Amino acid sequence: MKITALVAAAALATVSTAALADSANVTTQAGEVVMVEKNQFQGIGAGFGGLGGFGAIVPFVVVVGTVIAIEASGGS
Amino acid sequence: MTIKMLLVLVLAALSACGPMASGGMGMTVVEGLTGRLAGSVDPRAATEGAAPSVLTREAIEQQNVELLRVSIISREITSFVLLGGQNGSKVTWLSVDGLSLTLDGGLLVATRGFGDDLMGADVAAALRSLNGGGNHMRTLEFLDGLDQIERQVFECSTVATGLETITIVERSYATTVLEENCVGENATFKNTYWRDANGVIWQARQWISPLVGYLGYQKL
Repeated sequence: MKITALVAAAALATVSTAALADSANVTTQAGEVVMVEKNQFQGIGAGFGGLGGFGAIVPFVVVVGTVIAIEASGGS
Repeated sequence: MTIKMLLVLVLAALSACGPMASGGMGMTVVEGLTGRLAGSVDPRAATEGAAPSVLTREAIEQQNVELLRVSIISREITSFVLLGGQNGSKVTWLSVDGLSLTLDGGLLVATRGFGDDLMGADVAAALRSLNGGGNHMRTLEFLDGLDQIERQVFECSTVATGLETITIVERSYATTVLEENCVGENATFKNTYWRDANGVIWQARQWISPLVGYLGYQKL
């Protein structure tokens, strides 16, 4: 896997969490939340991230992808 | 840290998405959906903050597997689960990272991977109550501190609270809203179902367990 592919994977993970961040939740008439419209993993490949740490994998991949990009460009 | 070590770490992270990540139809669907539902697969667009497209009916209909959109309300998170298998009236839905939930006639009867899981449930009377309301008993099973099954009995009452047309990704459904209120020795909860004239529950809010709380789902 090339570095660009890793960065793409990281970007995909990022984009999957971005959508509908400002949308209103679906609620019952009494106002109880039925569907949470923020923090929505649009990309099904993200799954739930495991309930022990929802979304934990996403920042991890983004950070690692960034580090790789820095190393590849000769940065420190 | 060398690039090789970083590659190993990243691949390990990506491969930790559960058994469906090992290939086959599930992962093919996942890959297709990831691209379609996320909007753009152009990394530049993502890193530059371009807004991804929202979920569309067209994208759903192009999949060859049924989907649920599921929210874990206490964790404020929403994702998708795929139809994993059916055993009689019980249908099991899987997330790509190994979580699963099982529905019987649209009512939650088991979860796995959520932490404080619902290990099993007898919802036969609850299902019958959706047709005309009334009182019934419900039995839910959890794990106690010694990993033994602990059965809890709830006294429940189901009532239709009104009619509501809901829209789920560009498609509308005329439903009856049913509320099931349950009282047990250690907990009380209220489940809500949006059920159409054919008995299909298109949307629901259901209690999993004391620690996880409620999930919501929409049938896509």
